[in-house]
Amino acid sequence: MNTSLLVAGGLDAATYWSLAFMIAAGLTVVFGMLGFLNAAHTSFYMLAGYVAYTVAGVTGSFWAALLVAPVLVALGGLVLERLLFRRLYTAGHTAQLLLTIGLAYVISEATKMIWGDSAFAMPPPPSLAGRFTLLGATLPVYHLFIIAAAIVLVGALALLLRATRLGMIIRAAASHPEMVGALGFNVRNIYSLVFVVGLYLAAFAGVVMAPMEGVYPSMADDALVQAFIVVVAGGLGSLPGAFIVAGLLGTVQGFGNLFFSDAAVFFPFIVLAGVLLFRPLGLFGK
Amino acid sequence: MMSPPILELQSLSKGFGGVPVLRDVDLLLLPGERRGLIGPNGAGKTTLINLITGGLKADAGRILLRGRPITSLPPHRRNRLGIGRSFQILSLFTGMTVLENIRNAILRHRGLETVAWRRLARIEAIQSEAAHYAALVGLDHVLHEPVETLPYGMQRRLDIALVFAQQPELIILDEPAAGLSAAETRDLIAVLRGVIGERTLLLVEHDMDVVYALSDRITVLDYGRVLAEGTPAEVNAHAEVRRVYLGEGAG
Amino acid sequence: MKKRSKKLLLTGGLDPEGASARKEQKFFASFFQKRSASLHLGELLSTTLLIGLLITAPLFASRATVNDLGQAVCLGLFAISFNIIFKYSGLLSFGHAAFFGFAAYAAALLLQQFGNLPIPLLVLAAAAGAALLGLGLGHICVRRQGAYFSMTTLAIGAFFYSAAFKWSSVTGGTDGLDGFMPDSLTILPGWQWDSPGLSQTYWLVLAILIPAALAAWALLELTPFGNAVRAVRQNETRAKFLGYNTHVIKLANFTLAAGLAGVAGALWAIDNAFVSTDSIDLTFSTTVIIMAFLGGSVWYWGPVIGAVLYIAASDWLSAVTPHWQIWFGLAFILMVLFAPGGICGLVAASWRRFGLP
Repeated sequence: MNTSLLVAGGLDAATYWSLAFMIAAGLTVVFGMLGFLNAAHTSFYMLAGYVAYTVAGVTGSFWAALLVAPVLVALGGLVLERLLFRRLYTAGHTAQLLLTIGLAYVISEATKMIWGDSAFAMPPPPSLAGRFTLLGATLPVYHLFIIAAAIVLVGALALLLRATRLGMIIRAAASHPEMVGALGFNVRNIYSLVFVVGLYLAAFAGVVMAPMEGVYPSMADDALVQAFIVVVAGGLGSLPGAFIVAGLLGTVQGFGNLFFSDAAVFFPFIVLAGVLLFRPLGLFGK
Repeated sequence: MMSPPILELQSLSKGFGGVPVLRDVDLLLLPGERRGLIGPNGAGKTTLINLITGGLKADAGRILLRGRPITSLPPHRRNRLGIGRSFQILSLFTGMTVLENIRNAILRHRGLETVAWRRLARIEAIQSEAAHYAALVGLDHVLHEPVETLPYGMQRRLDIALVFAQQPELIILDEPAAGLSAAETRDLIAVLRGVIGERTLLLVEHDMDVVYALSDRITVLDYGRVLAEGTPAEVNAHAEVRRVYLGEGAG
Repeated sequence: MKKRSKKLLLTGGLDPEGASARKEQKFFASFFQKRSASLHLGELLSTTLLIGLLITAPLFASRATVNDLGQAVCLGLFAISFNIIFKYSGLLSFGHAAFFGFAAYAAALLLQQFGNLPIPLLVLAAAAGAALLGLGLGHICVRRQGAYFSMTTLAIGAFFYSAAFKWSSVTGGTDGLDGFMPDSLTILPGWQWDSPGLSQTYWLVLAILIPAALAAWALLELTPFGNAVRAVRQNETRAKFLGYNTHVIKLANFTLAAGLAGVAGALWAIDNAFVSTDSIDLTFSTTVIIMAFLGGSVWYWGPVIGAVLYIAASDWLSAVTPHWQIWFGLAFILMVLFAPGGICGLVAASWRRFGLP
């Protein structure tokens, strides 16, 4: 077992951890706060990837895509939230799942209609395209970028939640919406904000994922499975749970890929089964 | 030789999120006893019922049914051992008729609930037994009405019928008179008097008329502890009980 | 955390009907309405009509239509099996294709190995395998409430897809399996059909499918077991306190649904003569949900209508646009929002509106 292998595995693990968390965070927070289960969550992840591909193709700039695509997609999600999802907050999980899975289906087909059935590759920006060596391992610089971006984004959000007035209001609205509403705050807008931020994170992940694995039509489905696994194993509504399980998944993926690359596709299920065996409701599930 | 108590609670404790709701509750019910359980709101009465019937897990303590520990048994097992309970907040099988509701209770009691090779409608004995229990609570004229169309008082009586249709040895009624008018309450007392028979009854109630009419002994719960226990007269005269309920001796 | 504690304190620790269950019952109110006698009559007539049409179709319909119907009934049975979990246990399975696909592959592989296996036995074996899977997996899934159940079944479905995808040496991966159909089909030992025609195969499929569907219907609507499943659906808490082992009951229903999906999958393999990962992926699990829902969940055969619509749309709409599935999906969304009873629900509602009791 040489160190270069460990380092490579470690970086991979951290990369997958970042992506898995960014995708699942919004899903679990929206469930925890609004009781809304959104099976179309990863459709936005996919859409952002495709939109980024187009923007990058048109402008020739990855950074433009990274800037524009997540925002566009998140705004689209906001529109859907206002028009559609709001009606379902009190309709129970069955109706929510039915509607959002139908929406995911439609978005999937629409994506195929607009961009066709094939997969696209997107090269990383020249500034991040290189490799670097660390302890004998040659690693893509781009992965570092993903990890750094994740840390910055998530860190900023954590800071927002913990250290600003807005964050305090949001946290209050999560557990005592009526009280917050009675104090004069527009709780519906707070909900929308939380929803959109969750979508933005997933969309961002979709864009940064593109240079790594490209964009392809079943992206949303694959990511949905993983996101659901993260949320269920972490405990529905629990952000710390999602964080830890994303880490588990990342670790298993990153190191498992080195030794059992054939079985890599099964790792998430193994993690899920493992967690549920000891904690049937997920790590921090109620 | 004394027969073993039907129900025995030993140092039962339960809390929610750090808030203790029941502390060290002891209770003993002898066969055929009729015990009223009273106490102010929040005293822990319904929590106690849930602990006994299996809806909640105790933090500490033991529950014995005829000497057999049932503390960790799930609700359906406890029911099969002879505990029947009614619900404070109405809990009926909506979308089903009165007959079908009672039938559900009887099918399980007769061990026929998972039979897959017979037509339910053809099992005559079940139909007539269900009709019998409906008649017992005065609902035989609405046998085929969906329960959600019934007035509240009738729904309450159906709730009682569901319990008695299984002929449980230990009957636990959780505020059976909740929301009933004075007349309906009188009817309920009459019905209950008729059906309880020799069985053991644990009755949680706020309405003292019901408690006095149906109980031999009363346990008073306050802040999760047993405050007093005895005959209605004894409890009435108990200083602490008077203080809690009537505010006497305060200040 | 505090909010939950307060709520628990208020209700003494138990929420008999469950707040979210209440919400769902509000949304799906039409499902639980006591159905009138005339509606029962309408269903009986419709069922007779449907089965009659299906059986007699090869006598008057074109070859293309019979071909379509063969596919539609298999998908229809699959949709019925999904509806068994949804309507009778109130659980939304997102991975039901796992059982369909498993049985389809099993049937194909068995035929590859044993070309003269009697078809009824083949279907039974594949379905039994699917049922066994359902028993084991259901035990994990049904102990959870709605959201957890749906998400866990999605993961299970995805697992089976990944297995089918990866194990391509056996399953053929995305290319799938074909050419496993023998030249002569064995119906019973000693009774063989050489080069069966379209109608023959179609009738063979129906001969197995209709009794299977009817048996499941009888089980759920006529027996105490079916009554128990429905009682648990209506009020699981009360059922528990009346002594029902609700976990076992839900599990039994789940197993039934898995087995029936297995029958559908095996028949699909026979009818389609081709099995690929398209029969086991998430899109397919979603498609069956859409089919069941569009057709209508209340009438037992409603999902078959949904399947017929799906096949019809794939034939006719696809001539108009290659992306007909978008319209299909949009129709589904509209149904969920405005007519959760599906098309049959709309028909029943107008039946009620236009004077019949």
